[in-house]
Amino acid sequence: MMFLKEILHRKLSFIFTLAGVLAAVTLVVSFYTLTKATWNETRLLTRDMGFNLRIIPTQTNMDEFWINGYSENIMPEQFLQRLVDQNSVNYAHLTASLHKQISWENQKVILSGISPDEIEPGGARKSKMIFAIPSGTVILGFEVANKASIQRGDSIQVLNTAYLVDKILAETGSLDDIRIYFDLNELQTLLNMPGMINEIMALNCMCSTKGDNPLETLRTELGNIIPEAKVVMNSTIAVARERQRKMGDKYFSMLVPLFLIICMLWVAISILNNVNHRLQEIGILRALGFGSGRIAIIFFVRAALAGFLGAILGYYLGTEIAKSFGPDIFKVAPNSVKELPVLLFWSVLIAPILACVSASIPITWALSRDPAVTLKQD
Amino acid sequence: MIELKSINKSFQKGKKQIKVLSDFDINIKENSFSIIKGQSGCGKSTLLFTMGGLLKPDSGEVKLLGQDLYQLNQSSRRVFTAKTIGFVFQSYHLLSYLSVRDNILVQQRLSYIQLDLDLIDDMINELHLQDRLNHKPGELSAGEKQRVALVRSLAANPKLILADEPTGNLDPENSEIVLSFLKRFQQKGGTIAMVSHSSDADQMADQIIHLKK
Repeated sequence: MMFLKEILHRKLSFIFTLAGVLAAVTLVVSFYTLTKATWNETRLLTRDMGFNLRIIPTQTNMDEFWINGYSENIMPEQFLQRLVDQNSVNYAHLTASLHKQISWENQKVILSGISPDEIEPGGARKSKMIFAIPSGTVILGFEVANKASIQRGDSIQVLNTAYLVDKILAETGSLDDIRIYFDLNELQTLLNMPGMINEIMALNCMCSTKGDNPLETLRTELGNIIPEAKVVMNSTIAVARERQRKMGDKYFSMLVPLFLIICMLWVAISILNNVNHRLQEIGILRALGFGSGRIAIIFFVRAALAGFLGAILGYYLGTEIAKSFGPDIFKVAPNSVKELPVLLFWSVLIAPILACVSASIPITWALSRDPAVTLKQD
Repeated sequence: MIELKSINKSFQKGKKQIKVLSDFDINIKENSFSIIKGQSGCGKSTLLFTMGGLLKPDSGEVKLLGQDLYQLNQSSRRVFTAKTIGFVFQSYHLLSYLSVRDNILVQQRLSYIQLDLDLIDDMINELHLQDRLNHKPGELSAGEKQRVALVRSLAANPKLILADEPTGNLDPENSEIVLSFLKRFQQKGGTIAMVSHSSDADQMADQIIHLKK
């Protein structure tokens, strides 16, 4: 094991090479782990911002839609199933809803029936964005409750049916403040509109395509699946969502290659320093009968070992750094920084290869030196 | 043993071409002790490396045991010279991270080389290195280093020793040990070609080759 003896003899030189690999792996692992956590936090943040897609009947008059806050037209609830049946679609958190404006207790309110089930295309279930409304109960928007002086636990009459007030929502400064929320089935029965809805609320995930114009993609997709419906998008939420998602990707794709190039140069310089000190050794090994391949292996094994050790140490160090800084960075989802064991596999696989690639130029240079010249340099 | 015919070798130094060997001929007989002398820069080491298959001449023929060295491909030449030639250098060129024992046995890693371990033990005892086997070169005196280099050069039982000023860094006592050892190698049938500045070994030589600038 000549290479091990050489490493033990020139510890500092090896540590210098190892440090280059360690820095590269640590930075990549910590950055990737944090980027992954950013995606999770972004998902949670934007999810909390609410649905940004509204799928409504095609014939909806858009003037009235924006003035009323909902579509006066209706469509069968089964339309939702068509989206669910798709294996890959850019819609997520599909929720059927029915809305109707009425006058109640000297005020205009919107009755909103929300499906208790949020469904994902392909059958996947995600964490819920909506609140469940127990049967026989309603949830009141802030303004509705405030104007009629209603407390939680009170009983109210809506269209001659009694309901218990389960919850009163905090003020939102939006149409939600004048809503009375029902379970979808209960409102369908109350309005005598069984199986009918006027909106499917959703969130765009852009999980199957990555286009420059998401709305166009979503409209084309919906046109093929539910031609009887159209989609409108709250672009403020969508843009914020996309911007945050892309920002993480951008920094990762820009900084990681830069880190890698710097660290590979570092490794190359450390190997160059090592081979430069060992030119006479290469010369004498040649004089003793060692071929270029045999000598190259001594140096490549050294580089690969630095890569291997750097990968293992870098993985744990990078993960620890990400875990240490994660809770300070991610306030919404402090536990979103998770160890990614798959990175250990990739680090151990790629770092020794990159270390050998970095070492290849100095090693090739050293082997191309004439042994007679190096041996004469006494 | 080794015959050089019409050897030409020049080096490029900047834009200048320096001719070191010009139409050089030499014949070193088997079982002889030859000393190569000359001023600094006259091409003594160049000649030695050319003889050893480490430096290809610009033109000419180098025949070792009848085999033209530079007609062989690199790999065959490497195997042939490793089996036939032992090198000794002024600055020893021991591997600093290996022990004395590992330095001596370094060619054991080559599948085509068979080391004569009994012969190596004899040489270690003869050169009083038995207590130094586990030491690193950095822990040895100059004389000890050169003795280790001598044992290493003979470990594969070569027929020819090419020595480049092997006593250049040694005191008279250690020079004497080295030269006596080389003389005994010749007495056992070996051939020696040695570059030297000093005249210490002149009386041992069968021929002295003077190189001129």
